Amino acid sequence: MGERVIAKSFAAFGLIALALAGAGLYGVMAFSVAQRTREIGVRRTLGAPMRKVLGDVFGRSLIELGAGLAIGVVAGIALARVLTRSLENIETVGVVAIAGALGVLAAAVALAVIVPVRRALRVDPVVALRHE
Amino acid sequence: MEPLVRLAEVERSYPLAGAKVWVLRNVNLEIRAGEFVSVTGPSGAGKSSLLNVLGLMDNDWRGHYALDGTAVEKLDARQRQTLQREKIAFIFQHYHLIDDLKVWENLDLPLQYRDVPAKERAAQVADLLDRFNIVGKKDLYPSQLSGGQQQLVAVARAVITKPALLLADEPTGALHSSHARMIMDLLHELNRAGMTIVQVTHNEEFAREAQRTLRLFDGWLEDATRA
Repeated sequence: MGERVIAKSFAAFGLIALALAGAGLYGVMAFSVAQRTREIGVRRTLGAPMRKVLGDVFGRSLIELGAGLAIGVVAGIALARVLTRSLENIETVGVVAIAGALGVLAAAVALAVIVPVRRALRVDPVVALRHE
Repeated sequence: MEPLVRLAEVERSYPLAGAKVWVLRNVNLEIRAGEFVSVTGPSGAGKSSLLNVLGLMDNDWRGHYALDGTAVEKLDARQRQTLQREKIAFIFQHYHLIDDLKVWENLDLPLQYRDVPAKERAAQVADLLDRFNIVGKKDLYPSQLSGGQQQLVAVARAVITKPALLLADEPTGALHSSHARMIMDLLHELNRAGMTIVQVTHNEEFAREAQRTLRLFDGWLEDATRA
């Protein structure tokens, strides 16, 4: 009974940590893309089609996301292995949990890129150029 | 012969506190291909607004605008963007180079956006670096260049696509006088080679160097050369 409560508590902490990580990631990525509003304006005055602007911003964000997730997954698996040595009846690597966490973080990044880029593409390039 | 630019009764206003603030009023203007035109006037007179309309960066105006025979007001947003890509290039007061791209990459960008094949792009960039005498700077980032050199790169980036109309918004406004002179000489050289240039400037001396000077005041346009 006691172990079950502890396990549920840890699961709850894990979900909270995931939500916080998602929110933090969203904030950082959205700020980083918003900082590029002027650059998006410049690219549009140079004749960049919308799809190329989106592709460029998404491409960079995906590289940053990929690097972060790769480090996180490797560190997470290593930590999980250390913990399983001291705890009983625990899976070495929870594939569903890892996939779920990756999905949430990737969705946070996608949202963080789409919202400011769409905003930047909607404003006149002139206004975007004045953005600091 | 059809002028390159024809504006007829063009008006532009912005809503402000329930009223309208007019920045362009009943503007009628023709610019022939190969002309060098200056636009002057006090701050807030509508100079940049006029440039934004001419450059298809502002779509909320009323009236008629024909660019190289194409009626702009009849085009949708995508068609206007295509027309802008084909015909227009800009130079800005603050250069607006992409900070994390090298000089040659900045020059390459407009060609990429026009789907020019890589080999052809490389040749055009090399040619322009040579023509503008900046081969030695090609691997530097904008932050490693002086203001004059950055504007030189910005002019090179603008003309690499061989635009029909070059719009320059205070191109010398942020430069030391010797660099400003160099940029003006470059604009004259481009104009002599056939490029149509419209520059907005506060510098009366540089304004007079153009073939025609237009003066804006409170959104009203007058041809100061003919006045």
